[in-house]
Amino acid sequence: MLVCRNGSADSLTLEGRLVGGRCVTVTVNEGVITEIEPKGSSEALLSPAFVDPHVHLRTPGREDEETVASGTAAAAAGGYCAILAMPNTDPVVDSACVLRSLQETARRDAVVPVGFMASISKGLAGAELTEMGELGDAGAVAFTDDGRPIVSAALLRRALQYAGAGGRPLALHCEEPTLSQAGHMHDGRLSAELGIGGWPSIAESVMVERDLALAAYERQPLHLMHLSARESVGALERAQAAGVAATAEVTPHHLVLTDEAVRALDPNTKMNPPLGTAGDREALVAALRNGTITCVATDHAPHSREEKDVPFEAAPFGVTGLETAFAVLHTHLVEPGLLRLETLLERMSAGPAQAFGLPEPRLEVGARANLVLLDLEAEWTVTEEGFRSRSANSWLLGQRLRGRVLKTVADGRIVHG
Amino acid sequence: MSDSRHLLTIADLGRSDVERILETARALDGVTDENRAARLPTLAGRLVITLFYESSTRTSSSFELAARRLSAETMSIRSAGSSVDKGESLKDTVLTLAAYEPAVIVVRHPQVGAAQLVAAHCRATVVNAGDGSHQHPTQALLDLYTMQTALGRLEGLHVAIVGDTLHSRVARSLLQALALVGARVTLVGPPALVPRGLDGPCCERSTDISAIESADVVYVLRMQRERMLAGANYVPSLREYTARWGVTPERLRPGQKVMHPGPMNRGIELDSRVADSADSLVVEQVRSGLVVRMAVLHDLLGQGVPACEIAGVA
Repeated sequence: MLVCRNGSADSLTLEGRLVGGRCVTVTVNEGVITEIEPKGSSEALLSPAFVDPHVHLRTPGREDEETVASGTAAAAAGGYCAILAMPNTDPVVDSACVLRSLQETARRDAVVPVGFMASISKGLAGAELTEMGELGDAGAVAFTDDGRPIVSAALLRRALQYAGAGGRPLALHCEEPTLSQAGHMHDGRLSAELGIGGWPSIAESVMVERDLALAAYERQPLHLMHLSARESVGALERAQAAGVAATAEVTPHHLVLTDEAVRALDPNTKMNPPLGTAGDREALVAALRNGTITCVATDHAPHSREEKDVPFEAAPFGVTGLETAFAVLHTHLVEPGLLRLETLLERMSAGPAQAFGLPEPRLEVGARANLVLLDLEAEWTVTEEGFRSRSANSWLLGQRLRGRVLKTVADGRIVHG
Repeated sequence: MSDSRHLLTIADLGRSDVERILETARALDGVTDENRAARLPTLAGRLVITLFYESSTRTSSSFELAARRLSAETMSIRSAGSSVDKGESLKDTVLTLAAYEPAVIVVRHPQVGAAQLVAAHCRATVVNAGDGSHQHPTQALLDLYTMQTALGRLEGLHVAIVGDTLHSRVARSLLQALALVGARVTLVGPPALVPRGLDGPCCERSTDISAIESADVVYVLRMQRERMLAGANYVPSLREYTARWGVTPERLRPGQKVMHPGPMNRGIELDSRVADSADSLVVEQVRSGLVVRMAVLHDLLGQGVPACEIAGVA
């Protein structure tokens, strides 16, 4: 269930070029696309708006870092018409009453529709299942212990069985903690050189292998979050070929950066899972291209200035991403020819919607208007002042990007531009 | 220093920078030998703060003495007993100290990246005296100086570094510094403590202690006992470490020089007979620490005046 602030839908017309090159005028009446007419020419690109399956809204508990209002405003500015919020808040979203209170906040404050995920285990403690039936009835979109792995294989097996009965997907953060412990960056040449505790890529891939084996055994679907390692992509390919209904997501930073970005010890390059090698990055881009991975997820993880203004090793993991995702991937993947624009737009919209069973944003008559208008030529510099998010822990500060969101229509309403 | 006003890592230096600092230290060594009370005017009227979040004997004392010998005022802050105990962040401590307008802040901290953070938040020249397992550049420079003094050269030397390289900022800095001056390194130790990412064109890796045989210098690292807790399993036990990788007279050739950055665990990584032998340079390293740290401060803040001229003035 997606929740948005109450209000009436807009009527508007939008002119733009479709990804195939055709220029159109789209008429939206009370939130629904009623007409798509050919038009002479237009510079801006018009496309179904984006869906982000992985956002930390930090509410409840850390409203100084992000709120439902600020996080969804950031999403609107990034071209998103729907986002999914992670349950690792304080308190954790592990009961229907916490979930309902968040939905109530969203009905008041959410600029774009939000789906809330609930945790798999009570308190993210990895011991007891949450009441997934009641949570599902109350509108939990999916279940995840994001930020923490499900260490117990038996608990994950039970969760797969139980979630299957309720028809809501499980989204997993794959990390073998005895291998990643004390790790602050990818375990490799650079961690050896810098003397920073290494987090080996197998900490992810052995857990991916285990989780996929359990999903295969239970014949249940599974969504793998923020994949970072070549070995994980290989495991996913093999499982998909064997018929496992597994989907996966990848973040802009894992698609663009490698562990070399850590060299300057900027805490805004500290991510979980950590940035990998050039080989990892190539495997992730290839998987996004060929459809092994169908979702781009920002893993938007706001942190306060105090938390990040510390030595690299003391800093928490995570970076913001909602407001830069399209531009950074357009600049670093599409423009250099590593990914077709059409594929990027698909992986930022229909891919995540399908993986989580959400309504797919479509540019067709009769569909609810979920549209984004993009200027692919516009160059801009990422600055702290430009963010709608309450936090500014972006690895892109000061960088020039090409491609800008001009207007976002979410659930029939103009939410940006 | 070439293009950096700080000394945060050996990577801030080029070969000519290293050679210049060593020459400066050599000139200063002459002066202090002749007149121990000599004060050089390089830092007259300027403040040098040492900010230490970890315990230290050698590094903190030699930096303070070096600063005083260059006529600086010194101030020493330890995390214990300071506002750090009240939860003050590193950033705020630095902003506080920066209000005194120090010329130099020398910082030691248990976390990688601390020196970079200090440099980002003050206008002083920052010297990294150790950040986590990352870097300790002045230790590497004083080690080069000690080797050069004892063996007459650096180029072509073969240095075996024995022990816990994984957790050692000393090893990381020394490895880079030796590569800069054309020396060759063999890292020796248990597999889990010698990271495989460090080998390269002038650095080999071996798990066999007999690999030290051909080295001109055997550089022994401290076993960081606090990291060798039961269950960490880097090595099964200290006893087993000593039996397989301990540096003993039997494992050395006569004339092979032995170094150790201190503090030593006698009887664990280094046999007492070796530590106290004529081939041990351990005390020389401490002596070098003073002149090399004077040279580093002079190089960073001496505004290009050659040390020999200043030495002449003194």
